[in-house]
Amino acid sequence: MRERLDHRGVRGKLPQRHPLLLVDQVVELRAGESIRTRKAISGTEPCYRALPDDAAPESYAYPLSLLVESLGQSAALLWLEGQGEAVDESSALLFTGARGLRMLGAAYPGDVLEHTVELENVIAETVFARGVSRVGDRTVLTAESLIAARRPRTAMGPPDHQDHDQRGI
Amino acid sequence: MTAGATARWHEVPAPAFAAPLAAVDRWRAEEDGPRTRVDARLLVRGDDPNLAGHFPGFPILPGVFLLESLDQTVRAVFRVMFGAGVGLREVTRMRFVAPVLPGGELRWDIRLEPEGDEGVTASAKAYRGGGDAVAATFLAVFGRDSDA
Repeated sequence: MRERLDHRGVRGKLPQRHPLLLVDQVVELRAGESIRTRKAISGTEPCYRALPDDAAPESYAYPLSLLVESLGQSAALLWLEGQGEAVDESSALLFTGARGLRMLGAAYPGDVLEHTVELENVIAETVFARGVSRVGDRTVLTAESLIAARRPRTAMGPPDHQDHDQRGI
Repeated sequence: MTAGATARWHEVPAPAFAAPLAAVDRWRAEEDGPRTRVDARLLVRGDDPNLAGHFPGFPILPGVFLLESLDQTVRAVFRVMFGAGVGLREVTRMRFVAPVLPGGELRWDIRLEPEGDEGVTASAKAYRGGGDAVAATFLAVFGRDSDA
């Protein structure tokens, strides 16, 4: 079944919040198979706040770390479909690594990233997916393998409050 | 052995490019033939506004910020030691071993090795909490800016 999610729906699924909730909308989700998401890049985002006025044009490239995080959050939305919460009482879904990330281009304020992630494999509690990020017809990032795993929460140290929203890792 | 134990520390100015945080405070390096070994540090600040959203009430440094830290460190080292601009081209593999919590100092052990004519391979480990507990490992390839 194909599904779409607006930003409200994305917030309902992912535990991240401003300024690190980096998926705006799910364009298409096929549970257990693939997902397409969008993230609009804006010059008002915090990563542009301290940029000096005389910065070179390439200095405006959206940070690679945030690009990878946005792709990873798209993968998490796919993994979480039908798999419960990102964090439950005993375990949490964690981004544990990646292989073969290739930085092929840059994205700038005004661009809309479109991420496509395909589920590759689930082995025990570990999931593998591959992904690609594009701006229009340009590919900016490819990932051979994004890896996430359910891990016991005891390995992560105590939270700093008892009463907060704990859906997420 | 700590990389560059006798080398002098370089403080890193605020990034002159879009960045979610200043991801390295200082570094020191020593050359060993064609290789360069780098020790770099970052104090993980509890008041970093990013942590308000990652996650509300449960602050953990996002794993990708370790990638950001590695990228900013290698860029800073190349700018100072070789007068060259470099950028991340490929992450062959990265593995997040243990979460990094605010308050501690992150320590990098990075080995840079020439790759082809203009590239550099970075083999890196990040240690958390000022000790010897590994937070993450990376193998990444950087290229000169003219390759972009």
